[in-house]
Amino acid sequence: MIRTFLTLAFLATWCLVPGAFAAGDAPALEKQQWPFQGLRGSYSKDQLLRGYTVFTNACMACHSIKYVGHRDMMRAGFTEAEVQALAKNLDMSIDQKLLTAQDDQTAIETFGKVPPDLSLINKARAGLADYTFALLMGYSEDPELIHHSFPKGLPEGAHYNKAFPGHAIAMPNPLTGPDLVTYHDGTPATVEQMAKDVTVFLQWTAEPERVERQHMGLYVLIYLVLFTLLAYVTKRAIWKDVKGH
Amino acid sequence: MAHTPNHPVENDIRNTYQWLEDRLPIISFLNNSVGSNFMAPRNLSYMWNFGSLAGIALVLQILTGIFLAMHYKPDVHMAFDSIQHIMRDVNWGWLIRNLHMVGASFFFIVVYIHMARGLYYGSYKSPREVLWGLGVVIFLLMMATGFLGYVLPWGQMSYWGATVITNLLSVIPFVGPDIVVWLWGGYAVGDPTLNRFFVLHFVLPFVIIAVVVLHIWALHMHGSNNPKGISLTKQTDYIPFHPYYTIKDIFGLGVYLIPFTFMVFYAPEYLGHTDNNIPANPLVTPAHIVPEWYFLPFYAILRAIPIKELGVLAMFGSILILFVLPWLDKHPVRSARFRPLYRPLYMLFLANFILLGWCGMMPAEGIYVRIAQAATAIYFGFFALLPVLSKYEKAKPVPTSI
Amino acid sequence: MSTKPTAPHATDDDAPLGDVDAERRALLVNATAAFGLAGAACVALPFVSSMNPSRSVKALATLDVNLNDIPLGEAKTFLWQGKPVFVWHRSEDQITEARKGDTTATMDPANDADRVQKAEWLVVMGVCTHLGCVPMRGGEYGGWRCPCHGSQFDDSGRVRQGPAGTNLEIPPYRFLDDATIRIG
Repeated sequence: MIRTFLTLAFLATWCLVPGAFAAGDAPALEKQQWPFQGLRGSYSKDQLLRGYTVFTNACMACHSIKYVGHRDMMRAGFTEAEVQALAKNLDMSIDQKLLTAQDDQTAIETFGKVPPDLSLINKARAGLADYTFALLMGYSEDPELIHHSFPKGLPEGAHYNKAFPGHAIAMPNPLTGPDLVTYHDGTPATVEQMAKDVTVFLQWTAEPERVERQHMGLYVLIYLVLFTLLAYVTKRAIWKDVKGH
Repeated sequence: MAHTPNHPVENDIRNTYQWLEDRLPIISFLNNSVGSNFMAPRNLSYMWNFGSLAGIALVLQILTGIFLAMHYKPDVHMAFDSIQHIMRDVNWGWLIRNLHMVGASFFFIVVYIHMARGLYYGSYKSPREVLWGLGVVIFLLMMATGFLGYVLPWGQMSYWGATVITNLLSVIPFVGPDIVVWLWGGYAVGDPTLNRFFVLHFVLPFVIIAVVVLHIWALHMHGSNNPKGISLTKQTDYIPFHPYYTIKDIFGLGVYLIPFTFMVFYAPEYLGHTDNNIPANPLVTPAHIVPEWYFLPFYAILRAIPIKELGVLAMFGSILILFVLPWLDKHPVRSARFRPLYRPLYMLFLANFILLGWCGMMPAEGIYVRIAQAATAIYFGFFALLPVLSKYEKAKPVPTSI
Repeated sequence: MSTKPTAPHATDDDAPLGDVDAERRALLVNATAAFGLAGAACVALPFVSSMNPSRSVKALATLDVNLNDIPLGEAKTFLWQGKPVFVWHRSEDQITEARKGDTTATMDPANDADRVQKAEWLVVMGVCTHLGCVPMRGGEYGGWRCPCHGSQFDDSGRVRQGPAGTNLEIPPYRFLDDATIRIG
């Protein structure tokens, strides 16, 4: 019975893995190696600041991050003086959240819809961080590509994007070329670098607890393995006098 | 246990155990229920760990749920924000919520295994029909609680899942649509719905506890079944629950907690859906509405049948049929080990159940519907064959003792 | 409730444990129990901690008060961390009265000069030190009296009549400029 169960459990996990059978209309995404992944994964303060720079310069004109303010960045290792300075640059208090100045009406007139809040975007799209990165890198003006998906031409106001389901996205390419921003640490601001950094920043806004979680999990798992081993040895000792065991 | 006139009452409080025993015999009650006075068959396999494990999973859900409820706000304008408040601001809020989310899935895994074990070893057969029936009641209550709980974060899947599932009731003749409106407290899933779903999600687990008490009570009437499925007659076939099965359960708990913890810390939203990180929007339906994984097999049955009324009937029927299982399968041998026909049929049923789950995840179109229909037929076919097997299946020789 | 056998430990007689085994068993049981309970205690901590003020509550820990809004001789009440704070713009007479109290306030002696940063601004918590009611302006000592149980406080917020036993507390605050203080 137990053997049967293990077989079936394996079968079930294999079958029911979400995303193992991606829905047909979503393009396949390239898997990236992210620094926040893995048992010892973490966010680097420099990269977060670079991502923050990209966000405030290239995204915040239209998008908000309504669950995060400058004060919250202290959780990622920024000092109060540092976040005060950053907030001052934007003419904000550190307790204000990162809200766009654009109002909904203007957005609807310009783009036909209100741009989504980006606080949770890396957890709210199939493909997660890989999707955000692929989307930012997915813009193309290649007429052949466009013609392949849209033989009658792109819909009015839409932009071609390889990663976007349906390939016609309302958002214009936010990272049109290199050196859109100047990084505090002198890292060359290539398009790929900016896309990577802002994706990591958005991962942090979606999961500020992630690093604490991953680091703590290791200790809890070590404890549990030890506890289980101890319980097993004790179980063996107690069951020693039962016939047939 | 009751006091009789000739029983001397201990009045010296220093003799604490007897003093308390003469006033509230709770220690001996626990001892008789899950302690050294409760005798269990000595040949129980690890498949028998899942009963107590389910109890622990229930307690963990209630505990984490109570602490979440201290921060959650059942209001359509605040629900999504309050979840983010829990995840970001509340001390350890992310841990408690992850425990609750992953805990729900693991609770269902444990209960499914617990049920599958009962099905394999014939634990539902006389004299344990009521014990089995109470288990099915618990399963139904769990499904209701799980569904209600999934609505609370008020994401897109919460909202549209609630809409689709509550609309199922509209098939009830004559009063269906009125019942749905009554359930919603409006003309669509909305604020009144969320508010009452929160209350019910909070209350139902305590109803589950009450039924669990009945379940354990029924268990104690005839004791646990065992892998051989035979009624035990010799006293040496039994060992006291404590310490033998308490330590075995504790070891089992450790084994259970390792993958559970791994999910909590490294993949808390793996079993969830990305759409539920988008706030509920009554104007936009997600491309694919998928229920929580533990509903998928039943969801597949619902969608397999193209006539709405019949689909709903089949879905509820697929669970309710478990109540009459003891009367469908009247074969005198309990354990599938000694039933050459039931055993492969059981394997097929289980594999088919997983196939149904897979169908529930796929879009309801083309080949997937055909597969789901075949799987639905096999699901019910299993139950239809049981009375036939009871009559004609020739069992292998059954041992008289363990 | 039970019809099942209530056998004594069925196995005790069959295979008695040796002393060594029994000792080892007891040791292991104790070790497992201790290790498990320690783990359970660690699990309890996050749950207890979750009921403490959250990050968002802590973020609201400071309050800026514009002093220009408070006329000479009057006190205004502000809400800080969910509790009232009295900011009193004291006149010369009131300051003199408060200083007289340095010798006459015997219940919880304190110098007025130690209770203020600038003599004309008295900043105290509006929470009675008896059981937490909000005192009202008035009473026989120029400051406040508590409507709940009649405690009285003077021009410096010192307790002059029970049942309260200690002076009104002074919250942490600092002057950002001449016209603004930050509480917290």
